[in-house]
Amino acid sequence: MRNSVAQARAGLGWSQQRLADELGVSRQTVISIEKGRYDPSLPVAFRLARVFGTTIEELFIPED
Amino acid sequence: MTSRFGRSRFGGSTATLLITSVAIGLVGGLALGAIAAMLRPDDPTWVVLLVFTASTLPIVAALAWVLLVDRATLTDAPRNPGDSIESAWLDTAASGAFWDIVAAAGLGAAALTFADGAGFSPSVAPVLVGLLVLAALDVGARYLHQRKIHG
Repeated sequence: MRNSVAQARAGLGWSQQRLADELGVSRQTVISIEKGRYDPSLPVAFRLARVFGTTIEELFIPED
Repeated sequence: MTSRFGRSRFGGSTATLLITSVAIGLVGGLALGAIAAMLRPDDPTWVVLLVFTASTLPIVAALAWVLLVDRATLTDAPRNPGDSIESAWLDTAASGAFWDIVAAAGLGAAALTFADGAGFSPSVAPVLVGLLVLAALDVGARYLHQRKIHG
C-alpha cells in the first residue's frame, strides 16, 4: 500500500523519532511505513490520521 | 526520567532494581541448586549446588527484572510495543517456527520410535533441550530474515 506519511511528516518538520514518539511505536516502524514495507494496524493508521489532521483514505492509497 | 535498565514499578532507583533482581536471582538460583543437589545424592553436593546456582542465577535474575521493571522508565521503549513492526516480525517468526517445531517433533518422535525398537532409548531431557534450542534458533533466524526484508 502506498502512503504519503513521509510527505505529511516533512510538512510538519518532524523527525521520524518525533513521529514515532507521537504514535507510541518504534522509529523502525515509522521507517518501514514510510518505505511502504509495512502496513500499520488500524489503531496506528487512525493515530497517524489524527496526528496529521487528515483521514486514513488521504494518507493510504491501495495499489490494486 | 528514563534509563537503559529502567526503574522498578514499585519505586526506587535503577540501582535498586538491579540489586533486587540479582538478589532474587541468587535466592532462586540457590533454591534450584539445592533441589538439584538433593536429587543427585551421588554427586558432590557443593559442586552440584555451585553449578546449578551459577547457571540459573542469570536466568532468574533476568526474569525478576522483566517482572519488576516499569516499561515507561526504559529509554526508547515505545508506549505501544504491540503496534510496532518488531512485534509483527516476532509474530511472523514465531508462527513459522511453530510449524517447524511440529514437523521436527513429528519426525523426531517417529525416529525415536524406530530407535526404541532397535534398543536405543535416549533420555528425555536432552531431547527436550534440543527441541527448545531448535525453537529459539528458528525464531531468531526467522526474525532476522523478517528484519532484513521489511526493515
